[in-house]
Amino acid sequence: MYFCAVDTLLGGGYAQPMDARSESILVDRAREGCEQSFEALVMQNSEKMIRLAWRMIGNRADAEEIAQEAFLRLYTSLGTFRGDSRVGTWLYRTVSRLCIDYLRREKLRRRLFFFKREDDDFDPLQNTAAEDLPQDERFILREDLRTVRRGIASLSARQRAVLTLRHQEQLPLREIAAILGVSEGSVKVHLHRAVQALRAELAKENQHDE
Amino acid sequence: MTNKHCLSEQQLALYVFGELPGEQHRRADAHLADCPDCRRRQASLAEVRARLPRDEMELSAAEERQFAARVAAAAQRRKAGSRLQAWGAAATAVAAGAIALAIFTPDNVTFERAQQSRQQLAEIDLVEHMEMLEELELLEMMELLEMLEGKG
Repeated sequence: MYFCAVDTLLGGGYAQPMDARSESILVDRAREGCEQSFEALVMQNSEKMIRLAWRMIGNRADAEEIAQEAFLRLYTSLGTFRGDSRVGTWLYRTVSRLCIDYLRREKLRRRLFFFKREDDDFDPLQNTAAEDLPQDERFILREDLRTVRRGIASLSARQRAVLTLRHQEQLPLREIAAILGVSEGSVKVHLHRAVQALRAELAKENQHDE
Repeated sequence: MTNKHCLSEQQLALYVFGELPGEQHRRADAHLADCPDCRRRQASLAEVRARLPRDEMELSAAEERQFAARVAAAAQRRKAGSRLQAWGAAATAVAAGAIALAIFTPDNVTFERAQQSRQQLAEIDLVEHMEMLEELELLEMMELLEMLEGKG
């Protein structure tokens, strides 16, 4: 039987980031058929990838599906996976592109069928550190976030991806361009248009309030 | 009132996200100090940025393990599926070859030979289908296991 000895490569446990050499050994072993090594690669990257997809699309269950699909694509590409990029970078790219496809499909579906998901009504304070705020401030913050999230939902798939990668993932524009396979100039335009669209959405809301 | 030195909306957006390169950033700073109109536009974009949420999510160790196991099981299913597809394609190619042989053989002697080879090929095909059936059984078992896991 093939002996994987995955534990010896994960000295710091799954929570610690893995060095490039250990990762390359795991990739080689997974390629040779060691399932334990593939699972170790999944464990190392799962939180980051699910969080990335969730930040981009705003739905946890679908984010897990997208992350799973990215890992499955990694699995089928192991034979041709070159060592010149890290597994994390490869997954980042795949998840981001899958999210863009997902957002485009969702937008089309909503437009065609006036489709509304149950989780569209989720509490916008759910993932924020607002527990200690007084009731009235929580109310204002909730309404404010609802407006912002509505604005984010109205962005094009690519604008939303660029905004998420820049604001939430805090990646530099050059890296975002590489992930999305577009020029840096195009990323700048998407970021600028996203901010403009959000500003317009917020201004609309302010006019409503007055 | 804007003038030719005023910052474009794109420059302001990049400024707000700290993405203007060094020299351009310094020039923007100097201009903003003197231009109330650009300052107002910059402030409105900075407000948008400040209002953007930072969503945080953590997976527990148990959730990570569960997810990894699910992905590994799906990977095995996909592998088995692609193997089935490959066998199917190979069997189809062999059958097509046999039919072509039977059609293009010139006389009766070769017709008999072709019939023999068709029979042999059918036997090989049956053996491969037996393996495919085993794979299908395995897949069904895995799905059943997953269903039972889901029910706890």
